[in-house]
Amino acid sequence: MIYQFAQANLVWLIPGLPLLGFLFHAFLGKRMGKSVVGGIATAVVFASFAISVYVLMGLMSHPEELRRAQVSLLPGSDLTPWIEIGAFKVNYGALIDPLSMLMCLIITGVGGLIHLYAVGYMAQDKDFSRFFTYLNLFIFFMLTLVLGDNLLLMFVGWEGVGLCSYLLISFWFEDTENSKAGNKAFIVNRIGDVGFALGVMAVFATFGTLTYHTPQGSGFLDLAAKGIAPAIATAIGLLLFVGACGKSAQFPLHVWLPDAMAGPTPVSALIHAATMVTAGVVMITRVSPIIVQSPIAMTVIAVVGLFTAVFAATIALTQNDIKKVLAYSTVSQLGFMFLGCGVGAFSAGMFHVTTHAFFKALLFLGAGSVIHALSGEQDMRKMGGLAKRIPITYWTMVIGWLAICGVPPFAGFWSKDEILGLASGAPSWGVVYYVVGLATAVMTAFYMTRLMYKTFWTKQRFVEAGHDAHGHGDHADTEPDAGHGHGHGVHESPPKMWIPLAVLAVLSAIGGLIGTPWANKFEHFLEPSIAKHEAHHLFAPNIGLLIGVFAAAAGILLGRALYSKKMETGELLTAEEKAKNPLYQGSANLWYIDGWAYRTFVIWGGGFATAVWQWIDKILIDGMVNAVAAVIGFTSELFRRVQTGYIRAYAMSMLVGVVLVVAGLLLGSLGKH
Amino acid sequence: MPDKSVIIGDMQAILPMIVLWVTASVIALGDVSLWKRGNKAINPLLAIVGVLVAFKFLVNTPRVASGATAFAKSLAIDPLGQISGIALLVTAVLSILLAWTYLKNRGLDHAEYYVLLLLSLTGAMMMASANDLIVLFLGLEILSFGLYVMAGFARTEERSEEASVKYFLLGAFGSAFLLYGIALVYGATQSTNLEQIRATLSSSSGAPGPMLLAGIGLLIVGLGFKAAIVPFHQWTPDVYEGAPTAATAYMAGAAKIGAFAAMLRVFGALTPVAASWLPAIQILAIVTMVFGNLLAVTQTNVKRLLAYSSIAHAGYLLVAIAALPSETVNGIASNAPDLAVGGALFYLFAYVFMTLGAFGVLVYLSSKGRDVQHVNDLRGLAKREPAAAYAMMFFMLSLGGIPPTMGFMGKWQIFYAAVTGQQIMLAIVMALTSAMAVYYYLRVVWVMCFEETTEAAAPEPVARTGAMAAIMLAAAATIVFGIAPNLLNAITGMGP
Repeated sequence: MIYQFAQANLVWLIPGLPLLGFLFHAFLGKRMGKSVVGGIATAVVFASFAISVYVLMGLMSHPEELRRAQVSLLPGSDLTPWIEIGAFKVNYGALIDPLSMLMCLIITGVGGLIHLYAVGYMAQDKDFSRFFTYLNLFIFFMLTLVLGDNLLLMFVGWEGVGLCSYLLISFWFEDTENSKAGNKAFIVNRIGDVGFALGVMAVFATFGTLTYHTPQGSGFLDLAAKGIAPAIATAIGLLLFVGACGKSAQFPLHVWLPDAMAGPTPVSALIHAATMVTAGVVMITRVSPIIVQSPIAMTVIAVVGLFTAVFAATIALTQNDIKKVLAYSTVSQLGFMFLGCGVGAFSAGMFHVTTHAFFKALLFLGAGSVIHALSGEQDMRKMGGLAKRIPITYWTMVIGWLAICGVPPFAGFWSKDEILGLASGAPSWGVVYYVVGLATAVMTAFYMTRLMYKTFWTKQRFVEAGHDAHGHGDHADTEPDAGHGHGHGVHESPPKMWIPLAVLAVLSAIGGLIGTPWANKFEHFLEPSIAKHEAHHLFAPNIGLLIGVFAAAAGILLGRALYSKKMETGELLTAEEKAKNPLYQGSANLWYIDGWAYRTFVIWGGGFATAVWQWIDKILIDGMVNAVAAVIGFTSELFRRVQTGYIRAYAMSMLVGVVLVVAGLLLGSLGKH
Repeated sequence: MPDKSVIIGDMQAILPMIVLWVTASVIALGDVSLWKRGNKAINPLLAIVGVLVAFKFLVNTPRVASGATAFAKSLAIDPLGQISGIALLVTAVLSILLAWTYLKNRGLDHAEYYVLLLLSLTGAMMMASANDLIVLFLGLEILSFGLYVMAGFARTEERSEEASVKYFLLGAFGSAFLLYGIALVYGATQSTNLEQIRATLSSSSGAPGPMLLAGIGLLIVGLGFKAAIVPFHQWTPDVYEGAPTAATAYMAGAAKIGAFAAMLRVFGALTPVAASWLPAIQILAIVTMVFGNLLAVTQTNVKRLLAYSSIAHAGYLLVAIAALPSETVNGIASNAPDLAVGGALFYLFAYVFMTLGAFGVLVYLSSKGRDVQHVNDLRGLAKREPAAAYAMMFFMLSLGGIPPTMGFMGKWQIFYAAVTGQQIMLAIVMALTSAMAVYYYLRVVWVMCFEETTEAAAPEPVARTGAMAAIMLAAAATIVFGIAPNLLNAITGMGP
């Protein structure tokens, strides 16, 4: 099943170039000009993209059953073992197949565009080179995650992107809130990572290898495809899914993602929308041969995904921070992807990963452009009337909006519909999946329409920055969002920022056409990478499409009906009505999950940790350690005296040693006989 | 035991050594005639070229997995010899780079240094491939003579002279024991050839006689002196401190590799009577690990600290030697001997990179009026010389055995060999003493990063390129091979 082809020999460059970029920025970035740093950072990612395309062309030139290659990630070497300890053998190698190459294209393609955008967005930041150091490092780890030919390399990438995410969320660490958000993300992800690590160990314990596929068919996925006990499949599947829940922000580990918006907006677009948060979906898809053998794991994945989708959508309805709306929307869309995985529609899930990368990156970058235009303002209550002021941003956002709402023929329509259609045919609960999913789709269309109204269509509610005493002079240091050099009031973003918007808008508009139900090239493309699993529609695809159109239209028209009457304020409810309405309060307060978790885990847990620190660590353990140290120090001082510096003393001690060794050997043999 | 029936050409076998010898001669003669007053940089350059050519010939020597012999079976051409040879040549390259900087900055820039270095390197390589106790002795002496003079190379300095004399006198004492040991072993087995000795020992059924036992005891002492094993270690701190830093670096690397390559070979041959000498090695390993680390704790001179650290590392390497005879464990054939040899060789590489790197940082900082060797000289280094300080940090972390460095991987491999070979006690002591070691290594890091400079700015050293190159090479190796240990195996042909 494994085939080598010439183009695959270039694969090491795909992660290698961003790594070089990272090293360059880390060591020389501070001495270089911003144009050099930004240029190199962007160029390496686009170069990786070009190589990915080239490798993919090589892959596609082979018949379907040969579209899988395994090559070393070290240039010019055979498949070098990375770690070899007894039976434990792990390569530093890449698995080239449609799934990994698809992710490479998304990561480097969308990533490259976001790099370009960030050059403009971060132009005034004093830590410009530090930003691109992290960003290139992120791309390297993300590529390692998807390219690695074994679970351990995926784990390395997984932890690496987690690190970069942490560093970038708290990029403006002078503000304590940002550091706290970074900590929150990192700590919540720990919970998931423990699950992932246990899953990796379970795979090794079961199969004795962590490699996905080998030419001999001895990879763990090869072995799993031959059939394994459902209990084992369930255990592995659920453990790995815990990991996926952490990274991909599924309930109840979703709490970190909205806070992660504290990072610069390009980071939100790249890491917390387009790439890293989809790693969980990629991982579940990668191990699909195991997942499909456990109905329990499948159901859990589908139910958690579905619940997360609807739950996050209800929160997105009331958020006022433009990035928070998009963040909850991301959580919700990730839920859709897992719903797809849970009903065995892995390729539909990956299709949604792809289209979501286009339109959510677009929406985030658009939001960034809005924020940029308003000198750092993120509160939608203080926006409005921006449609004519920043037309390029506006029109690209419109396309993103249509795509996420599920209006044909835009990208989101096809992928969301495929997931819902296949979910409807799930053997149990199919109807529930479908109805709840559809309701979520209506809500999605509604809250996105709300976002468009509040930002672009309602009357202007902000004070022009030129007259505002609170201009960007105050913010320039702490909120580089605000610190654009040429700002006098609202303005369109520079070309570096709107070109990526335009490209993503084109992709969001037509990118879904590769996966229409009539000619699903996408599903066919991914076939070699994923497990075969029968998934059915409850009704003919065409009817499903029609219902999907109605759902999108319902959400949009509802939004229009309500907001077109409130063009002055952009608010549906008055402050009083809001305070009285328990549903509104619940949604606005994130259904009290964050507060509850904070009280339970942070306050109580913190108290427990403090007690342990004060009583056990400081008194007991430190006391023991200090006592040992004192004894060692004393003994060392004592024996130091023996080192007199006189040759005669040294010779004497040697002689004593000789006598002891020889006498010991002789006496030892006497004792034995 | 490997069957060493293959015989390869005598000259081909010693070609690397010949190249080193020729290079030494060219430098010696050229310096007094051709480039008498010219640019002195030609000497280290020639030396490096010579070492690289020797390297080329060494890797081109046919690799015979089970080993081949030359010169009537007195030299072994096998992976052990070839890989320790590579380690020695790496040591030489780094040492020459360091010497280039150090000698120039301290006004000691004489060609003789490189001549001595190359000649003693020849001896170390001979020692590493010796298949005969006499050849081993010869190699050890050739190695040592060079080292004695290099230790006293700063002739005008009392400390350097003292180091040289101490090393020479105690070295002579140690060599005498080794020679006596060889004589006794010969008396007991009628041979000085290691294969022959092994064959004789495995065929004789009775208990080893007193002559053999005393001989083995003295071999342990003689080699233990070179390897700096407690209680034959006391020269180490004084000589390391007194010798010019560049010479200390070379000495630390070459002598250790030569001694342990020889020990792996000698004790491999003595495996049939392992029951009699294993307890001695075990006790010496424990004593060496404990005292090496214990005494390092209170050192305030970095060169002395590294000397005790090198003693402690000798203790870890002895653990590998102790795992050598475990050819069977509970009646089942075990791969512990292979793991022990592989682990020890990997550790020697790690030791070379991290120790020479650490000495390299001292060399890098030393100038004409100031020989940097006290811990306080490193205060605030992270601000003054960030590149050197960060490299030093990696060396210290590696010496302390903290991942992802080479020191960790090496220690781990020896640990694994020890556990596989049922040397549990040694593994435990190794882990505990390693923990102790972290204290004094991290103190150096602490001083560099968190304490303020107290002294006035020192005169800028004349040339530092060589030292910086050596430091960077060593630091890169420490990290890269720590992350991808198999890469080293791929390069050197080590491992399965």
